Amino acid sequence: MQLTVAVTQVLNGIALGMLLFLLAAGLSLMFGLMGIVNLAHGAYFMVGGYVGMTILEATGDFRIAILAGGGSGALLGFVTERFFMRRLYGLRHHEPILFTFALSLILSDLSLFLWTGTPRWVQPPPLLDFSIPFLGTYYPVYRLVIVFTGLIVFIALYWFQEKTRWGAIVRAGVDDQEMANGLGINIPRVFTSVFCLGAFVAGFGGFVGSPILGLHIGLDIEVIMLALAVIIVGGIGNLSGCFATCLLLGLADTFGKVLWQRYASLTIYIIVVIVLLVKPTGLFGKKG
Amino acid sequence: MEKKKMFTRLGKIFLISALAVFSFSTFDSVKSEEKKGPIIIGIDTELTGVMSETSQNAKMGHDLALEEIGYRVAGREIKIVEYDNKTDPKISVEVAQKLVEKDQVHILCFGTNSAAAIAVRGYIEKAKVPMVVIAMAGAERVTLPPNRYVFRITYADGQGELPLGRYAYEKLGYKKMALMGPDYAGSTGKLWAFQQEFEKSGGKIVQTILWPLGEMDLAPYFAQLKSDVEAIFPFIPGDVSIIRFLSQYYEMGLDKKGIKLCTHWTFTADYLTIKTFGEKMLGVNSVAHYVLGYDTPENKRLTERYYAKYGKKKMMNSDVSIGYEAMKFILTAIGSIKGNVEDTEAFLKAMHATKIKGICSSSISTDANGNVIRDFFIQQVQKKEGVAQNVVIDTILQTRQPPEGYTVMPGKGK
Repeated sequence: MQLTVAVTQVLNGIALGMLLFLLAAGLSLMFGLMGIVNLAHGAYFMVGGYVGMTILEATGDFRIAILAGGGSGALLGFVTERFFMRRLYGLRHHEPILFTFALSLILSDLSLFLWTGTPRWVQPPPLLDFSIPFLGTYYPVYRLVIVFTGLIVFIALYWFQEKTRWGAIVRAGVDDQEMANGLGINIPRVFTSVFCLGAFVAGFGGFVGSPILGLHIGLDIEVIMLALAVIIVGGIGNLSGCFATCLLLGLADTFGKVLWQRYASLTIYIIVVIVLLVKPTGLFGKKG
Repeated sequence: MEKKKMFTRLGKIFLISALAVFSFSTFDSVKSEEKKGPIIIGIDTELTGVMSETSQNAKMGHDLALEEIGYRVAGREIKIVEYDNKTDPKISVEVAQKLVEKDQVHILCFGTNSAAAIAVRGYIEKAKVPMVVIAMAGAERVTLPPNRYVFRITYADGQGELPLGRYAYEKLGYKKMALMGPDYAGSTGKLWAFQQEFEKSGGKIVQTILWPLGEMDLAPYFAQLKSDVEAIFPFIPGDVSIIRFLSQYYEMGLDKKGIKLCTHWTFTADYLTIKTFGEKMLGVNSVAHYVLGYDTPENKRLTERYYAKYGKKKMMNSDVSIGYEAMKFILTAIGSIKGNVEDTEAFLKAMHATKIKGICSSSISTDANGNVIRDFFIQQVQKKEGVAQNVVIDTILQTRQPPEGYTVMPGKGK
């Protein structure tokens, strides 16, 4: 493989990894804290993209559209947790899974009603909508911005989780809910906040990812499969593990497309199977 | 005198009797036509599922054709019985059986899914019911090997790609091209047909990049394109994948690198891609059987009727035109045998003898295998009257289905 192609593919892999991180970070947080697999998370990603697109069309301002995309995700997360999920905690695993699956179908049908079945695409802001000469070829600036955005979101979430009091509370909730409750921490409020934060990142990712992935009904299902793969490979627990897993899967998927084009869609799932067989708790997950 | 009176009286009796016999026989024939009941056309189509948009558009087209003649041909009512096959070939076979056995249709029509049309070829031959593929069905096996009950009024794989392959080398001047698309028979048939004719003309396909169907991120595939590729011929089914392909093609700066697109009409659909990407698409060449603004009285009339009936929410498009042409073709064939569709042999002959004016094509008829013979157009996205739109730059008259085996990978076919 030529050096130019190899370097371009590394950048492509990192950009895909960052998109995966924006998608999976929230799901990983929710899973870590509440132990639930939120299958509606892909729908937050898709709806965030559509809402951002609508606001962009109305205002022409990409920054407002980003906030609207993330905000719509957070609002959906709030409604889901505060009015529905709260009634399902403590039940067996399959009730929350069935509920969130039903919710994703409802959100998908609502999106079909609101934005029709015609696929859409969001043009990057003019300032970022160009390619720069790179090792004799061109590379899109927008993908570099995605890489940068993913890094910023990771640093911000890491700082929040490790360096702030709220982060300490969330970690306490992950480690031992009963003890945290006993110490006077309002665990339901922590749950709602984490749900909103995770859904905000998903809605935000859905919009900033739309110039690359486009927007269409069914995007939610496509991305939730990838997010679940991240959770399985990375394991429950830490944000750094989720970040590293996203990079690993992004690079593996990209090089799979270079090395065995016709079977490339299997790359991520082969890794999932191997991890399940060798280390079922995930590469960075806690034991037990 | 008496004799003369008697003769006149006899003459009157004869005249009255003759009139009575004639009027009774006419009455009887009208009565027998009424006795025959309506002509039943069954439609096995995709009202839901991934191909539903195309089939729904085609349905609008045949509704427009039926309304034009008031749902009557040769004095007989046309009755449409339609069922959803959910874009599932298995359900499609069941629907076809139901239409033939329960609804006793005289003619069976098919929607978009070529796999479904192929699946019922054997069945309709046994049932001796004529079948007409009304919407898109590219696969060569729909009409090959020949089945005398099967007709296709749309086009076959290679029917447009073949002249485009030749045109790309001879007129557009491309010498080295790449093929791109998912590794799926519905795509590769078109890729191989293009390759065969492009290379036969003197060009060289230097790279073929295939990926699994439904791929989200195509950047790693674009990054593999060789530096000497002058243009790409891509084919991908589905609006979502086409939008994704084009957004990532522009995003990766391939247009700036001078790698042109020479493609299928679905990539330059006015209602979808030109509407989405606008002037970015200027200069893209494609082959099409329908061109939105093409100046024919038929196109003008149908477009006006379409907007009057369905509004301007969605632009007039090729699927509507295909649906209209196919239904008009069937109705013309029925008319030529005075509505006597019970005589299947006569109807089959009529389908082969029918020739109509297309919406854009100078004429539409069928070959000995029942596949359509129609004009194709080479179009280019240009700015006209301030708007990016397809403009015809050449016409390929009366294209036919390529010979069997033209849509398999070169070197692996017959």
